[in-house]
Amino acid sequence: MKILLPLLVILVLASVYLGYKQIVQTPKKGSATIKSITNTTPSPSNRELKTFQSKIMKFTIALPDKLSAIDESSRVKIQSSKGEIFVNRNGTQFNDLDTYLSNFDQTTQLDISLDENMIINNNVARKRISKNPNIGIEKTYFIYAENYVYKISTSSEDLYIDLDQIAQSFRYTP
Amino acid sequence: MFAEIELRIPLKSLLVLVSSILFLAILPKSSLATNTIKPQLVWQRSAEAPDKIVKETTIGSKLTEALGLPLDSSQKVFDDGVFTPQINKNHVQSQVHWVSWSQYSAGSGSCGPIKELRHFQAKFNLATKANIQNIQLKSPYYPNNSFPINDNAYIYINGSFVKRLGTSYGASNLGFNGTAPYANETDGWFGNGNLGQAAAQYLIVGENKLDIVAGETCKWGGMGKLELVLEQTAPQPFLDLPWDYQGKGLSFSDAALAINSYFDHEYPLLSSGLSEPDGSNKSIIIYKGPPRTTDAYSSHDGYDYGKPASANINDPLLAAAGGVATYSNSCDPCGNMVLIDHGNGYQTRYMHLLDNGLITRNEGEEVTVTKGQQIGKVGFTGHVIPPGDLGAHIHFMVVQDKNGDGNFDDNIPDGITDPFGWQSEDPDPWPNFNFSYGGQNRSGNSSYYLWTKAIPNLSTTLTANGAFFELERYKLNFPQGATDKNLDVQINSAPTAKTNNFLRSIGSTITVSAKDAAGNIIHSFQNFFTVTVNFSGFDLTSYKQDTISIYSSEDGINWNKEITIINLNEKTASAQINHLSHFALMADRLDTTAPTTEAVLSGNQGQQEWYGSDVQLSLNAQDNTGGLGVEYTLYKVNDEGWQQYNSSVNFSAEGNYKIQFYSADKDENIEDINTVEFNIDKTSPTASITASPAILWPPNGKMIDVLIYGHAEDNNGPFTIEVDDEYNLIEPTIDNFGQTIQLQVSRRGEDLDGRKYRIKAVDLAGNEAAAFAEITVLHDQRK
Repeated sequence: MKILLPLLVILVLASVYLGYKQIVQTPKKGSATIKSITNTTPSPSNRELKTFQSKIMKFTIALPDKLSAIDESSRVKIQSSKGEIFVNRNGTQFNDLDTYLSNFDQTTQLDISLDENMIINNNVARKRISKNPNIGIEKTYFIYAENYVYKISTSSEDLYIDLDQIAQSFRYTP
Repeated sequence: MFAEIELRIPLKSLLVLVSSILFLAILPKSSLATNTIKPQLVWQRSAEAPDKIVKETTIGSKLTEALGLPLDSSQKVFDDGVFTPQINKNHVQSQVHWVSWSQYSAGSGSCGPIKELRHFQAKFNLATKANIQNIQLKSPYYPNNSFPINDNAYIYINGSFVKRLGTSYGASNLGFNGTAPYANETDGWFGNGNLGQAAAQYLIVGENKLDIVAGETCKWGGMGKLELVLEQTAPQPFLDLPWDYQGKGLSFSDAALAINSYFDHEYPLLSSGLSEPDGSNKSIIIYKGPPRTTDAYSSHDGYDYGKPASANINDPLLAAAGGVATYSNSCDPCGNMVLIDHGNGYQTRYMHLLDNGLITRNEGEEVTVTKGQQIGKVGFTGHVIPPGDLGAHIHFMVVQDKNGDGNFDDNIPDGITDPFGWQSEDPDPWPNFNFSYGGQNRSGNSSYYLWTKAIPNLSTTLTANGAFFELERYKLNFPQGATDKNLDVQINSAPTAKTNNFLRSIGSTITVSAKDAAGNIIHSFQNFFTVTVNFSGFDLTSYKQDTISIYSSEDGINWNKEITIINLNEKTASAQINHLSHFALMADRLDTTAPTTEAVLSGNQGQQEWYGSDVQLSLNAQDNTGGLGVEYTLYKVNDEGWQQYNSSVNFSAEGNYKIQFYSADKDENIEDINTVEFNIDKTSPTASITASPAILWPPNGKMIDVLIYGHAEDNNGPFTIEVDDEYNLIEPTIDNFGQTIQLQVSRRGEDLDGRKYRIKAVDLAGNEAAAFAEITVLHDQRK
């Protein structure tokens, strides 16, 4: 017991230090710090939802009733009076999302202010807020499924809540 | 009654109705065939001074001199004119631009013999002159080829005379002073600004000059704002995807859209090594148009296909179309590259091929290949991400020989084109991008859909090149030449159709509408298109399968049978049709007769519908011979809700019952409603009955009067007073108490206890009152 107590104190202090270090770390261009990992399942919502399916892009999402979606074959445009949410899809030779995004970050050099790992309906995902000089600030979900990376994003801050709802309802339907 | 009708909608029909709720298929825009180019015109004009104009007495003789007039870019052109009489200006609409001038030599209002000629010049850039089928110089405010001019104009392209038009050459007057509100100084005069296809020969790739010499006969000259419209015919689609995607079980759509890296319409400079301008260098715009995205990847000048498209390392790489193949290994990032000149002004390039399996490794050797022939293997030579075999993919690229010199290399990058075309109403950034490369000023290239196979619903636009639309089970394939102008097509799903009791659609139907650019509804086409309906998944046992056919209708009510080819293996029906707008797959029904249902009541029955006990109801339904069988029977009691009948129903409570019932068969043939009514009365009447005389003697066979009096009542309705003769011979009717009846005073010899007449009260259900009166014909007066 006399030996265990100092060890316990050291562990607590180390944990506090590491936690502090993580909090003060500033995200860098193209290599933001991942602050947390979240397991996400569709959250219950009291809003009316409807299911939208893209057969060509092979996914379904739950849309708030007020939004309408147009399947443009190579992307899905979700419209509202506040702006637009897009679902894009890129094939990739990378076999996981981390290496895909690592390469992505090298080429795009975005300013990333939020970077959060997630699991969405069994698919590895990443939630980000980033700034692109050509596009502006975007909130984006990257979802990896069988050598596809689905990107669900919006430049409209007013649609962030809807984006969260939609992205977290994403299901890959091969 | 209405509720009754609603409730009788069969369950199956309800499901079909729900599944057939109309929805609007909102489809993306495109420009697949005829492309309209409107080059930006930069105008200048000759200075407005007497010494800067050319005077002549007959228009036409001093045109060369007029063309040499010095130009002054500071002079306004098509910007509210220079000089205009107020009366006309009052009538012109705001934001309308024109140019006007007055003759210096003519008096006000007079039309003198001296003409004054002025020179206008516009410069514009052209990325390509390929496939231009028509040139128009026209007003942006008017339809068709309206060229607002007062009085005359001579038009030149790059110094070559093209056309003269105006009041001296067949112009029309559409009205003065406000009745032609966009014309202004032309005073309503319009020439025909269609310059025709022949004028295209004077166009050049790069900077062009358009000169107009305009002359006024009287005092006021003018010309409405002009724009140059070049109509370009799209090239014929000729490409297929360069790997065996069908052998991998993928449809064209699935494979074509499994894209690793898109063509960046802003801007595909990768092969040139040029840098994109700030603002476009960290994003792409795909063929669907804005907005910019961060998809892979900026400057990319082709399409990458790999694992998601089942284009895997070592897979055969196939010629996307026939042509002459060559090999190149001079581009380090490209690795092994095969190039195919298709002989139609387009070349396809295939990069990163493996070292083995190449159709040739000798640079400069030309090998004729056919469409689908193997030209190499999918690989990872050159620069791929990730490096090595994991990054194996196809980089597929299309180049147009824009300058028509037979050399494709000198049209890198300005000849690079997107085989998916440009599917947006926004302007394509790439052909509008001007840049300098290799010591030349260049512009990007227009893109057209070049795949021979269509992607469903890629566009709502049906063009001369055809299109393919798909909605649920319906496919519409418009071949090339089905229409000669762009049409906007809308397809909606519609509910099932039933023309009569015998013919019915198999599942939902569709409505198709088409409009031209002017909003005119198109009902028919110059060539036939194919309608294909898939009926797999449908249970056809209720249809006569040899009658399955596609039907069309103009109004959705009257349907016409089309000549239909049925493929029972693929479960599809196809018909060649050249008109719109309702389509359905229909067939005759096997069973059109409703079942019949019989109600059977069991219990102690009194009179007619009266029962003195519990009643059991059985509903026996039977379909017609050869019918599909009874699906269900519904009944309701005393106007309560409909219930499904499963087994006999017991009724025990006293009261009146109305039972309604009907049955439907397995093809929704519904029987008319039947009704059966009955009453249950288990309670006997109460009575007090007296007969006088009660003893009849002597038994001499005579008829004697007997008075019946008393009282009786029943809780559930009427009752009768009956005479029950022991011998069942004399049983007169008694209508009411107080009535006298005649009974016979006789008896049989062996009847020792005498003949008994019993007077009793009996209700309709047969229940007898406990009390009764008895009249006896004695056997022996002593007894």
